[in-house]
Amino acid sequence: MGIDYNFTRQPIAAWATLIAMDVWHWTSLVALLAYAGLSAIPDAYYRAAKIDGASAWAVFRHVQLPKMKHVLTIAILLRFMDSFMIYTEAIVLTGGGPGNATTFLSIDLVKIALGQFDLGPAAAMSLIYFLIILLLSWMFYRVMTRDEEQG
Amino acid sequence: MSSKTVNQKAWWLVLPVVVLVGFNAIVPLMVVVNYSVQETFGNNRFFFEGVKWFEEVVHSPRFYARAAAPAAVHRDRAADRGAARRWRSPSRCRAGAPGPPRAWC
Repeated sequence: MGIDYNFTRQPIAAWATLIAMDVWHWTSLVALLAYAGLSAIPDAYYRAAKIDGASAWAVFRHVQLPKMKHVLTIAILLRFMDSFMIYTEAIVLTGGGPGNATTFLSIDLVKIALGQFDLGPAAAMSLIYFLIILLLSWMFYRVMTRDEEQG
Repeated sequence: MSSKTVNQKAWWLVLPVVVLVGFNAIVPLMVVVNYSVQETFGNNRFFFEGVKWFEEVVHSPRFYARAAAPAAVHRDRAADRGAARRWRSPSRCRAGAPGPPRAWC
């Protein structure tokens, strides 16, 4: 088609393909969570908004979004933590290449542990990685729920 | 006032899940912690190494390079540009000439 796109040779193309795969993989879960949150909003809010003459945007901004905040927080947090565990997509698509462009820590851990059979360094690296994810997730959660605590 | 009998027996129903999670998450985690402070040369023999592996990982450029995987894209693109400069010459950029993609010419 005249487009120079090769995910085995171009790092940008490899990343774009990986992101597309990941989005395709996980959008359904986030959509399901969002739909569950949307269904849980009582009709009374919509009726009150209708009486007040609220526009569709106002309903979304002041009813649906605040009511779905918890569900969206959970969904974002889940995906945030999951994104550190990315392995299958990269190993299947590029094997960590081109070069090391898509060699994530999770892939490197497997290479160290099962390729080089250096169990000690791999175990130490995985624990440090675990602590980093735990810390980042906790910070992320605190930031997301900061408004509620202040309220 | 509610006439319901209150007791905590329902927690026993949660016990199987607690045991399952313990077996599938906590035990492997402890195995990893165990490996992270030991060295092995095979034959199922292990030697205590303390925090040596942790120090090695914290001072390893490889760890930081992998943790910042997106930076590798920039690095590889820069390497590509360098390779393109080396390859770019009139003879190599002729139509049909072997070598780099024509986008580099």
